[in-house]
Amino acid sequence: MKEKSTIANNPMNPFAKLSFRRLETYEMERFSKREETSGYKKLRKKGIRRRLVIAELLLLLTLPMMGFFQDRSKESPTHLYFTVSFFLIVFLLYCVVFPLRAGIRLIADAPDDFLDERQIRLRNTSYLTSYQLLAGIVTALIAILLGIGVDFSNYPGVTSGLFVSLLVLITILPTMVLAWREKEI
Amino acid sequence: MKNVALMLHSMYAISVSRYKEDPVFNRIEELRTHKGISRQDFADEVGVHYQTIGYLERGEYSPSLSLALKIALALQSPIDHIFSINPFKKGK
Repeated sequence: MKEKSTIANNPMNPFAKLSFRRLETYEMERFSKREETSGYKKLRKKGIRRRLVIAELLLLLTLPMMGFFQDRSKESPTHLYFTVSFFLIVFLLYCVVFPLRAGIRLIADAPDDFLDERQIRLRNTSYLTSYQLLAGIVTALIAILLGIGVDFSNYPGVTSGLFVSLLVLITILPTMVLAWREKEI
Repeated sequence: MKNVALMLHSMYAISVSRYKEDPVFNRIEELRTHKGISRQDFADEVGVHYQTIGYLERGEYSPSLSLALKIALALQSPIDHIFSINPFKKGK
């Protein structure tokens, strides 16, 4: 951790007055004050972190899969069930994201000022691995979707689920990589 | 086709690349405990997270030159007294 006072208070920092920067600073400082005193320590255990990653992956897979079971007739009561369960899973996805981020001390999202050189290296390698994984996932997805030749206009739930899953995956993948890989964080 | 093959090869090369640094041995733990400084206080003094000190002491992480100099300053010892590319002999 570098000197925290230099981020928000430094008059030479051109970003100090930008609101997103203040928000970032606020979030990190609030987190670092609480991190050693609360239940966050439990979340740092490797086993718990890995379980959270598995839970997140399962939820990410469930979202597009649900679309195959969607009854498209609006009069059908299952249409409402589908919509409710879709949003419930999106909510659960974000419920898992927060402990996952806390479990790795927000390293994957933190700006340089809040990390030391080892943590910066960890964060950067997690982004490299995430890029490789994402390239593989997207390539495999395109190959599968072209290969099976399903007309997805019949399954609008699948495309929207896939879109939300990929969106969440892109944002959370470096965190998941760190949570899975690091033995101690 | 050649370009795709080249791209796939590069991706594979990056994914299997596991750059291993040459080990750097250190006596941080020995000198720190000799001075009676806790890991947290020492981490605050050199400006890193306390877990990074643990990684350094276990030899699982090699510091940058600037961090090594800060550590030497905090321990008030010459840098070659703390870090070496050869293992330290016990008691020396």
